[in-house]
Amino acid sequence: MEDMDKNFEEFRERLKNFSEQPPEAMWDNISKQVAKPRHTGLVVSIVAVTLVLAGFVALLVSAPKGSTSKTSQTLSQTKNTENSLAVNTSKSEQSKTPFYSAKTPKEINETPFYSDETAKEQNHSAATNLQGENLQISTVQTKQENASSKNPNIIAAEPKKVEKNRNGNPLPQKTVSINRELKTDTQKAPEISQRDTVRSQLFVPNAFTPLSDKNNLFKPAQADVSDYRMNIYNRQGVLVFDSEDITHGWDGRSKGEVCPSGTYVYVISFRDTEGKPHTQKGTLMLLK
Amino acid sequence: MKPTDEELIKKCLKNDPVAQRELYDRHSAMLFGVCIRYARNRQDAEDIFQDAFIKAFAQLDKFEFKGSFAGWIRRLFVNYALNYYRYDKSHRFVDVQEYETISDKPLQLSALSTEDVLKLVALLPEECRIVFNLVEIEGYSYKELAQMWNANESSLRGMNFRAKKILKSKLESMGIK
Repeated sequence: MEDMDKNFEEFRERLKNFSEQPPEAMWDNISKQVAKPRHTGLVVSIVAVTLVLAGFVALLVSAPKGSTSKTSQTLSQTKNTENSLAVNTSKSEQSKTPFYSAKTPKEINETPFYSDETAKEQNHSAATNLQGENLQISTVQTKQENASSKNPNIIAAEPKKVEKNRNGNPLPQKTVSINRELKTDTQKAPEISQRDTVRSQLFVPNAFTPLSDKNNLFKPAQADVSDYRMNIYNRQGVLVFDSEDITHGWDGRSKGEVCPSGTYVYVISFRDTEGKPHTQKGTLMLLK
Repeated sequence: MKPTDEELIKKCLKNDPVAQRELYDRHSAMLFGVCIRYARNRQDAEDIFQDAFIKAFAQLDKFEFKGSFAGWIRRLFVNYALNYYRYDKSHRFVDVQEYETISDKPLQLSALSTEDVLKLVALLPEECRIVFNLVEIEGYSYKELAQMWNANESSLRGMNFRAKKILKSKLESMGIK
């Protein structure tokens, strides 16, 4: 009996000391939900403003004599961008409200998200911090979209498909703008014809209805991608869906039960046909 | 010179990502072990681990630097694991076939694999397993548990006694005396 007690003690000690390394991917998931430094937004804004100025100076230096009126127009547009970024900075420090509570569903649908690497660097903190600073994106982009009609350097891309809701009414379309002046390297901005063949962004619906016969599966439009991964999180940041196959969409269920209506967040990572990695984040509405 | 937990925590409170990663690396293995012991299956263990860590970072400002951080975060994880099943009835029960049978060959306890040790504990009835884990491994007293759960101390003792009896008889049947 004494031996058994001794053995049991040893058994208990082994349990007490039991530890196991969690899977590698765990930290990625956790770190996405953990707060990032507040000053990052400010630093990124300052860097972006510096780059805009540098790009503008380069433009001035290379511009021929007859185009001063265009240049001044660009100047005023650039100043609008700078102002919006400056407004952006002060807003990021003030805003403490969580991303979701500040928006109605309509506002969420109208908020486009950058996807390519350069714009991502500019809005890095806004794109990655889903809890406090995402309001930056809509502020910056709204002002840029107004400027896009006048500024020849901004290329606006319309999505190819118009999503419709249950009543057949078209859902608000997303517009993505790529501002050449904000690129961080000296490469040319991608031409529209290239964008057709090399995808830097997947077309993702912004809502779905899991209980109806149509639009009951959430997944991006089919595209030629590799290393695909899609994670979907609820408002509490809990992972509700995970897929490594672009054709495998979310049926709105988690652990067997349909999730509540509301806003969810998707994070998609993939490699395009050139092998370049991309990450795309956004929100979606689950409607019942 | 390695930073102390206290230094790391102060940096984490300023949302320093390097400090956050370091804190995670220091405690993740121990905490994942905790999740495995309390969870009904592997998937739940991973979900609990992830959710509890996010919660721990969110509540880091509540740590008062009294006692060890490892103890504080461990308790947080244990509470989370227990509440995981209490409040969400959709978390399914473990499929019994998920566990293979443990070898019946007589052997020394030291030769018993860690996996087998865990499987033995997983065999226990749920309530007995929880009480056994909390009393024998985490070191809670019956009085503390009775207060936490508004339960009868002698019922809790009975559950732990039963757990130990089952474990001992299982060990004996495996030839460990």
